[in-house]
Amino acid sequence: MIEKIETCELALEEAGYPWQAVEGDGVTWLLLRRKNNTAPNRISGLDRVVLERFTWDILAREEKRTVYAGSLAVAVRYFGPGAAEEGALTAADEDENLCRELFAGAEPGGRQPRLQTGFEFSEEPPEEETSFPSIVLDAVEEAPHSREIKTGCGTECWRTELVWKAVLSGEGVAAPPRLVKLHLAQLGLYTLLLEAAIRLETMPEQAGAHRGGGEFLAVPRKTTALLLKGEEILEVLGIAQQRGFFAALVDDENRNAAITNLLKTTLVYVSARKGGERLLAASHVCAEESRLPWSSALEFPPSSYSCKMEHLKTMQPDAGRIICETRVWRSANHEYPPTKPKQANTLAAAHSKSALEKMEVNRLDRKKPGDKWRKKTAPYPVDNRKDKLVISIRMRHRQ
Amino acid sequence: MVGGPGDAKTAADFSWLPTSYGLEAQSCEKRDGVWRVECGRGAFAVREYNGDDGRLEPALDWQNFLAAQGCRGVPSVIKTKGGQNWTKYEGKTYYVTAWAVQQEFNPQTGEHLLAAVEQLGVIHRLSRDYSRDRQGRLDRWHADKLIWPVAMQKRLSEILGFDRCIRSRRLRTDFERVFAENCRPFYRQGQEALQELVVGGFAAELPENGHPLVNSFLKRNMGVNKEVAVYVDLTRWALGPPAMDLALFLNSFLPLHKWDCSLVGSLLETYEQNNALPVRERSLLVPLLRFPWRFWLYARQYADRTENPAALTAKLASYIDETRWREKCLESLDGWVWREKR
Repeated sequence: MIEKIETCELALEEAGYPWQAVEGDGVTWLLLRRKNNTAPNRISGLDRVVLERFTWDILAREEKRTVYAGSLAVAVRYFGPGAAEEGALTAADEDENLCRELFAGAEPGGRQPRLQTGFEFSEEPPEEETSFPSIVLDAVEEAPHSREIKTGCGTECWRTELVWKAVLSGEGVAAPPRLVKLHLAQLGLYTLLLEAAIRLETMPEQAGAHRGGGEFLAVPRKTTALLLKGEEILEVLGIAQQRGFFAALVDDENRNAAITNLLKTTLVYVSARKGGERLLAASHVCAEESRLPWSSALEFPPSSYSCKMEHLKTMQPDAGRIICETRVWRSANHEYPPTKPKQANTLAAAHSKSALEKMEVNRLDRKKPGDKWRKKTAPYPVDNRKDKLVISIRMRHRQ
Repeated sequence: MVGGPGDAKTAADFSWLPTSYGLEAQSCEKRDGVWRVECGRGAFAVREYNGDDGRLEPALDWQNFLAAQGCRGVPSVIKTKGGQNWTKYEGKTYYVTAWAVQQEFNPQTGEHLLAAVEQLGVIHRLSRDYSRDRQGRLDRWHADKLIWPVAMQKRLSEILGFDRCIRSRRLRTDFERVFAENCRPFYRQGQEALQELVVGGFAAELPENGHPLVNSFLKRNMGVNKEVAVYVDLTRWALGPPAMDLALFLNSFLPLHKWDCSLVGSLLETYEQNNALPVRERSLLVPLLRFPWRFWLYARQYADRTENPAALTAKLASYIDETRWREKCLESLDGWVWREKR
């Protein structure tokens, strides 16, 4: 059954340096970025990118989390100032004189010009296509003789190593990380930008198979249109979904339960717009609700919730719109650790006892006023009133 | 200030010349916005003045003073029959000078630059005497003084403001990319210039006991006559220390020579042969040269959309190159100022 198309308007996420992580259930995208300033030598063009090394290791693994560490070594070849043409020398008299006029005002003696502290555009300038080059590459194989790269006439080489760490959350077996895209661009006269998109994911698992207990139920297929205004998407790299803040509302009368949560959908894509970062992420957060049929287990709140998303189809009908069809497998788990009530009682009793003892110790440590001047040889327990020495003094009256 | 009358004028259109000046126009030709009018007594330059008439009179008076003192770098002003320096005709203001330009000023040749800086030194030297003579008349122009470090700091704030503005969203054009890439080094240069200005003792207003300055070095307002440079338009004058003029002159034409240190040295030497600068003014020259005036200007023009972004990007890239050469040259100038101090 196909539900109606839901529309999500994505907001572009700010490009982070030196990394940007997009985490979803069963997938993590790591966008690595590095800039290199070649000043005072101008860049006159890009030659190529050579992947020298892509290594990784698993640092730690828990039931639903895997921690990776790795490094990516890249050699970037570009054309240096030897091949660049410096602009023709021009006189600056018009502009310099205009600066002087605007600065000092027309009046001799220099009337204080009207200056503003902020800066406002009279009208936002229209976007223009950049003249600076940009290269997007698919995952490239490690160059067999990459260490032998030599700079040719007019070409320069920038070697860089991007060290990374990332966490992958989700059930299933972790698959080897993949370097999906590389982007090299010239930004300005002296700046090189290198971007890399690494995908970490768990191996696809049989839907319904679940280790945490509970039963997975498939929510009907959902088709979502992801809109990204003012942006042109060249290629969709992936869609990550992250769910949190689960809550259940059981309805005894209607014999069902509504499970609500927040859903963050993040689109990782290659932008068609040159002149800046092109491996980007855009996201949308919305509330999600699905209904589970009544079961006796729902008499108590679930101990945890699980969701698994299955991507069925992704289409891009135009530059700023993505249609994706998904199916979600949901589960409310009812296994409370510890499972044996007797054991839990014992644990609780032990916990209470130790807490009381701790309190006792604290009380004994406290000294009574004047304790310091009492006889040290005959200490008495302060709190045991039965053992307390009671002195009675009989007063005799002499007659 | 000097605007050209319509290009289609004939000698008959200067019918006011005989009545006002006693000159009979025989032919006329427009050159760089100025009418070259051929009369029986020779060639004259007829200029229309579009600025404040109050500023014109002191400018022409100063020009006449310089010419009378034997300065060959300015043409003498022709007086009207009534002894005025200028005249009004059909609501427009005109003044006439002798036609002094034989050859176009070519800033690409070192000889022309040396000739120009030589005459600039002469003008500055003679202007001191003019200031002494006309002190009372110039006082009113000293009234509203500009506090330079404050005004310069505001320019730097505007540079930062523009940078923040374009970085708050995605960069849209190559101009923004190049600007954002180079904003920090230019801001640092500006701060350095301000520090030098304050350390040099110019924390207050600059036109302190200022003399009239040419204040405009547009190529079209300069010429050469028998190897002597001529400044044909002094109506953009300002009051201030001569280092202001010198800085504007060097910033205008030295980019053409990639800020050749030896040429700059020769220009300063030639200037000082005609008008020796006190050490305090020398120390003012370096910050005035270093301040990123045009970096601010291009941002302003871009924001106001008064110039084509592509053309501005080319100008900005060229300015960035110039700055590199200029900084190298200023390092040697720093030494020059220091040596004099010792």
